[in-house]
Amino acid sequence: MAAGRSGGDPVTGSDTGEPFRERSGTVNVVLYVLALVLACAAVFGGVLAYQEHGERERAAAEQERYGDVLAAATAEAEAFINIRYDDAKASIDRVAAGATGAFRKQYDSSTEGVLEVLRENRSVMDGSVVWAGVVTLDDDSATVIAATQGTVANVQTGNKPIARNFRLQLDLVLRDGVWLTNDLQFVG
Amino acid sequence: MSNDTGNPRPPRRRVISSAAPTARPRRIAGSREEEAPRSSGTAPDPAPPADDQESLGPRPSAGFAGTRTTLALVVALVLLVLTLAGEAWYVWGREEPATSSSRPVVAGTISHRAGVEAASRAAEQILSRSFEEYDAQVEDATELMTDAFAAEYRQTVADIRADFVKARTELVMDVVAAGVVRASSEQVQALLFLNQYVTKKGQETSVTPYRALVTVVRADGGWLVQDIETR
Repeated sequence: MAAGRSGGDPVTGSDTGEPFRERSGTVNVVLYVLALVLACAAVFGGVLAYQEHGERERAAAEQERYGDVLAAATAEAEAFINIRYDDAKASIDRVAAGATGAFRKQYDSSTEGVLEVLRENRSVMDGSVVWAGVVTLDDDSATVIAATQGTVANVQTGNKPIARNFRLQLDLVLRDGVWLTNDLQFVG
Repeated sequence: MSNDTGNPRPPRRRVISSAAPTARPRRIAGSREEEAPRSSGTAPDPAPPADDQESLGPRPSAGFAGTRTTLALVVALVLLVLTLAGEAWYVWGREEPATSSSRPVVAGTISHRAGVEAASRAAEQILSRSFEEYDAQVEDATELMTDAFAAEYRQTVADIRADFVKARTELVMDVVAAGVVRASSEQVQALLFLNQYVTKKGQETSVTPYRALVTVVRADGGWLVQDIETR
């Protein structure tokens, strides 16, 4: 090095060039090793991120399934508790549209009888779902409970609406990408 | 190297450098070009500059030496650090999505089922009461609640205590169905279908159906009831 050299003396290449080159080489070796370590970590991190991405996509699909099931169950429950004798056929059709399996057959086979009873009793049911919750859920079936509030008016009530709240349990299945109700029961 | 000795001047070596093939040798403080005294009338044959000597053959540690290599390595390191930071943020830094009508349950199955189960057990304990152990049961129930809801609950049960005890009332709440309405990792809302069995002195047991939305929040010891809404 230039230790002991006066400030005005030129510094020769043999004094600084070689040590500088050696220091530079050492620093670069250290940087290179560090870069290798970080590159390995980045590859590992990339694998983790890829796995996390897949996991999130699966989670998002499942989360959306809860929303789809609750929306389908809510729509079917509201169709079920909104029946008017003066628009009976459309009311029944709305229920049937969200139904499948045994539940749908029940509506199809008894439609005429149901229409007759509705007209005779001049029944009007109005209501909405207050809360709905998923009991069980898998890829293609689900059980949902729904709490409804509303009114019912018919000849027995003097055609005056009285409060009628229900506790419903709906079993749903996935058919061609659509959640349909194949059973609906009152929870006692 | 110099013609001071009288030897014929050797042919000038052509410096081969991929970096600057035609440029002047870089000046380095104390390079031989400056150091060597110039003879009058004849130009000294400059020694090859230190950098240019790299091209003449390998030196110890010459493969990693050089400012450009350092710069390239530093740039690579910065890029790698940024890549790692991005990966770490993606894997660990992103927050759980908020619940919405399209995604009402964003917690894992095990987590939200634990919340619903905790809400069911807590609701049965909080809403069931006996005139014989009224005060003790109220105290036990408040252990399952947040502080704010416990204060509200104490006020409510204090208001009805006299009539409840006087009628020698036994109240049992039974959960007959439970489902998850909304759930995050920190909060679960459970819909419970409850049957309330009330027995009073000299009267038959009556059964009343209820629907309750129970909100539980995660706490150190599990889940605490934050709210119960019945209809």
